[in-house]
Order: sequence, then structure tokens, then C-alpha cells
Amino acid sequence: MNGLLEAVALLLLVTLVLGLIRIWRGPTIADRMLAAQLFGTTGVGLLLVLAELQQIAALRDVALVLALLAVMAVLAFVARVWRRDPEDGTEEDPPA
Amino acid sequence: MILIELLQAVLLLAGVGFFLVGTLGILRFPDVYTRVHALTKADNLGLGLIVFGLLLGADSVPVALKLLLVWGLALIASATAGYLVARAARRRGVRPWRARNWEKG
Amino acid sequence: MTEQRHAVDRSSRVSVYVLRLGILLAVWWIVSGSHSDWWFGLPLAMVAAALSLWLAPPARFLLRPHQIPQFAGFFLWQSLLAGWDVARRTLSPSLPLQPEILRLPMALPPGAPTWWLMLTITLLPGTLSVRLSRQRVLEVHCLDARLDVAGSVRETEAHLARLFGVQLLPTEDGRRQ
Repeated sequence: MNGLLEAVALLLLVTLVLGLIRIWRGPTIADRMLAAQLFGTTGVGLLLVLAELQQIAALRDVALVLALLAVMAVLAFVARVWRRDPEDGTEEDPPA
Repeated sequence: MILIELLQAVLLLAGVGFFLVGTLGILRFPDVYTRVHALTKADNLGLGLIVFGLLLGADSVPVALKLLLVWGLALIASATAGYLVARAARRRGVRPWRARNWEKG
Repeated sequence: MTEQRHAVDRSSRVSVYVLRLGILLAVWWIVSGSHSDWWFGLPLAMVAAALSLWLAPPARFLLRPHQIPQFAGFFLWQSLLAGWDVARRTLSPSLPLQPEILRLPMALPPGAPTWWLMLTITLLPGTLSVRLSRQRVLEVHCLDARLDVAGSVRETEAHLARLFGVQLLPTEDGRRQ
């Protein structure tokens, strides 16, 4: 079981590193935000697996806090986007 | 007991598989919108499978519920983030990518 | 008349307080593990529930508990399909995508039900909420326009209407504009 958990943790780490390519290439800020989101979800998964692997229950709390922080990051993003243009959907352009 | 461990192994490996697919998706898909699709769906399912895999080996009820709580929070966070990223892209006028041989079905 | 409404308002606030207190105590139990310290947790939950009532007034829409298992089942199964769908498209060498943005009028009442719909369909196969206009038309980005996207959104709406116990508002027929 431990060998399997180690393999799972390692593969999760690989997906994190591959996600870096998207941050590097962009091209828009939104793409980079996406990679940040990838880090959040994968990080939570990695922490949960490590908690089981190393029998450190506290890591589950870290995962919980990371998930909560992800919500906070989203809220911060909302606040910024909403400040930029408070009018919601008044400009309606048809899709190309 | 062996059966449970086998099921755990299957769930954990499937979970990692979906994480890999999500990452591959954000590298391969052509624009922001499609990448959001790949990431939110594949990664949330991946995390869900890992959570259920670990759940089978959880030693107490609060631990099991904590795993589910983490998954729930992650779901809300990434669905909201996906929507916000798509909305921000749309407002900046990012045109959605379209297939060359586009057909209405 | 006003007094009566006031009384109703107060009793609903009390029940909302009790509900939130219950949820917070459950969260405390989960977070603090098997050896929970209630001398600390109970006062904390009481203060937090009072604070939440002050910051976020009682919601107009409440989930119907007996509908939760059915919705959870629908949601889990659809998440599985969504992940599978994305995996199939990602791993296929030809990358079979036909993305399009559809505009669908919302049939759920504004507020929590609409928010739930927008978040839920983002996690369901092939759909992503992009923007909600003031005229209550939701722009949905879909991975494959050949699928019946409007139909699956409408199905999700019906599930949410049952979950919240609300009626769907009438929309113009032919939801695709």
C-alpha cells in the first residue's frame, strides 16, 4: 500500500511540474490563473496522500486550509474583476 | 480486506490518471475556455477518486468526513474559479477557438 | 401587520441561527477530530453563528434535506461522465472539439438556485458558465456543439428546482436563441 501511495504522490508531483509549462507559455493572464488553480487542486490531493503515507494527520488540516485559501484567492479575484467593470452584462456582443 | 485494498488501489490510480489528463488538457487544448473545461472536470474527478480511495482506509469517522469536506471545498473553489476565469476572458474579448470543419449538429 | 411580520422574521432568524450553529458544530467535530474540545468549540461556534447572521442575512432559499441524496447521486454520476468525456477528448490524437457559446434563458429564480446551476453545470460534461446577463440569459461555453447542451442544462435545472423546492419560471420556447 505504501509503495502505491508513494507512486501516487510522485505522479501528482509530475502533473504539478508539467503544469508549469502552461504558466510559462501563457499566453493570457487567464491561462496563468488556470495553472494556479491546477496547483490548488493537485496540492490538496498531494497533501491528502502524504497525510496517509506518513501518518501525519495534521497534513489533512493543511489540505483543508489550502482548499479554503483557494476559495479566498477566488474571492480576491472576484473583487478585482468586479471593481474593473461593475456593469454586469450590458454589453452583449454575439459570439463570433 | 484484500478486496478493499484492491479497490483503494484502483481508485487512487484512476484519480492520478485524471490529474494527468487534466494537465495534459491544459497543455493540449486550444484556448482558455476549453482549458477551463479540461481542468475543472478532470481535476475534480481526480481529487474525488483519490478522496474516496483514502476514505476506504480512514481510521475514524471525523477523518472520513474531513476528507469529504476538503473535496467539497475544492469543488466549490474550482467551479467558481473556472467560471470567473471564463468570464474574465470573455470580458476582455478573448474569442473562443472554433474548429475549422465546424458543423452544426 | 408589521408587528406580525416582525415576529415571523424573528422566529425565522432564530431557526436559521440554530441551523447554522448545528452546521458549525458539525464542522468543529470534523476538524478537531475524535478528541474534540467542546469547551472551546461550543462558544466559538455560537459566536461564529451570530457573526454569520449579521454578515449574511438568512437565505431565501433552503435546501430540502430529503432531496439531497438524489441530487448527490445525479451530481456524482455526471462528474464521472464529465471527467471521462474530457479524458476521451484529451487523449484522442485528433482532439475532437467543436466549441461554441450558447445563450440560454434561465428558468430558475435569481439568487442561490441560479448560482448553484452556474457552478453545477461548470462541473458537468461539456458545459461551462461564462456570463450571466441582466436579462437572465446565461452564456454557456460547450466543448461540443453537436451534443444536446440545452437539454442537459434543462435537466440540471429540473434537478435543482426539486432540490430547492421552487417552480421553474417560464421562458420563451426554444431555449436556444
